[in-house]
Amino acid sequence: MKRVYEIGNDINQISCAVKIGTVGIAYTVVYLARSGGQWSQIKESSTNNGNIRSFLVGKAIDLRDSYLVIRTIIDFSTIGENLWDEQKNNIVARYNLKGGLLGDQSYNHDTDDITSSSNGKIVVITKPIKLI
Amino acid sequence: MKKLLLIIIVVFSCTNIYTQKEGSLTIENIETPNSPAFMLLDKAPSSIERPNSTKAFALSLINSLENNTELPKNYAVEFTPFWFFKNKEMTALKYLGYDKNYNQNYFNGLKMFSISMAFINTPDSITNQEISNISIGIRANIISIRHKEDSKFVKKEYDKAVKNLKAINEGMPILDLEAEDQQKAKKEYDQKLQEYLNALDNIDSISKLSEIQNKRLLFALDGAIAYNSFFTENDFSSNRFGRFGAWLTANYSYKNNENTYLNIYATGRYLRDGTAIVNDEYIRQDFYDVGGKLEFEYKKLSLSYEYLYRIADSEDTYRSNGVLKYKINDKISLTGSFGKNFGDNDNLISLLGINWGFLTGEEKTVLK
Repeated sequence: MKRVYEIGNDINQISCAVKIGTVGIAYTVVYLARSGGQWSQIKESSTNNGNIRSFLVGKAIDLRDSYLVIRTIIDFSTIGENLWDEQKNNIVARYNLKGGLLGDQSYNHDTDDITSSSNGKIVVITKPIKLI
Repeated sequence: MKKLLLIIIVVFSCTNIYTQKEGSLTIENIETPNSPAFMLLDKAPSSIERPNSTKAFALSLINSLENNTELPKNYAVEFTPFWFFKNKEMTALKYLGYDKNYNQNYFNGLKMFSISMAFINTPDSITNQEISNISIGIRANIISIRHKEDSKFVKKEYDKAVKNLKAINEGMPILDLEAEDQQKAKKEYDQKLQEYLNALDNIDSISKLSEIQNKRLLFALDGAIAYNSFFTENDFSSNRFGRFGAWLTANYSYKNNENTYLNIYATGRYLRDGTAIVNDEYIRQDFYDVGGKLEFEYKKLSLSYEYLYRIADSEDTYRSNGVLKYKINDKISLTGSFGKNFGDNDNLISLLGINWGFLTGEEKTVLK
């Protein structure tokens, strides 16, 4: 489900952080999608987990009407096949945005953000956040 | 046939509990009985065991070989709370017991503690009346030390998996955020992504990290605690304290090669028993058990011998038995035990614990 974050139209700096909690191997990428369908990767998680510490996305005036698309891919090869399906429901994904008119705002992932492979081993969470 | 019918009934009744969370119970959730709730009453095939289940939920059925014409009367359910809760701080490496520098956390097993509950019917040795026992137990791995090569294995497989995820990400479709009909665009994206992910199913699992759970630990210290109450004459008001026990088991595993292990166990157990009758009165006795077990594992077969010496208020006694386990596949195994239990009366151990998935072979039967 698409979310909206009010950033305003000033030179205030917008920052973003991602927190993922799962027993699977997680990898997160943050894209900035500008008008014209141009997607650019602006941050990726470290190799240790799918988390991304707070980082500067840019100035509000430059980001207005663009999207932050945060995609997390989770591989459940750490656990037995019998647990793949149920552990999909235990994933925690929290997206934190700061610096806009709404101040400090946290979003969780929604059910319709999740897509998984037919056997449940790979799970993808795609969260688009519109910056207005 | 009667046994099969009962198993189906038990599995169905457990499904009612389990479906609240999961929606289905598979036959693979049925395990051979070694939960502390069984072990407290000396009804498990072995008195010295390591917690080995990573399952969210498991059901155990057990019957005595002497009563093989009767329906199984002893059941235990065991579940691991870890799998039922979300944890925002959890990562794959933490779950596997390593920090970001691949140093092992020796106390990692504590979070995987499990809770078990057993229902055991036994005849009273004097009156021959049926006694219904209910026991509850908790067990956990307190300390675990892995072989050095396991850390290397985790690092190698983990790096490989992350690399693989990056490659997967690069080929993913892009969500059209500017489409006039956003609902349609989302639907199309979901469909393309689904097709892309389904294609990945056909590729063999690149990471083999889950194998680490099946690798033998170099050293492990496990703890368990259990409590039992019993009822006589099918009367609820007859509820009495049965037993309380707490025990620690240390295990050292010598690895000869990938298929051959020699496992040495040492155990100490405190037991308070309230089931003995003296002059028509139930009395309480304290026992201290010490002993060990030697287990030889070769491929799917394991043979072990265990001996426990019991220091009692009245007369010391011992338990001595052999256990044979055969792992038919990753989900199905068979356990048999034969020997002498504690005490002088009713002390024959002749147990057969069957993972009832055996009846269906490789087939995965989903009961809904």
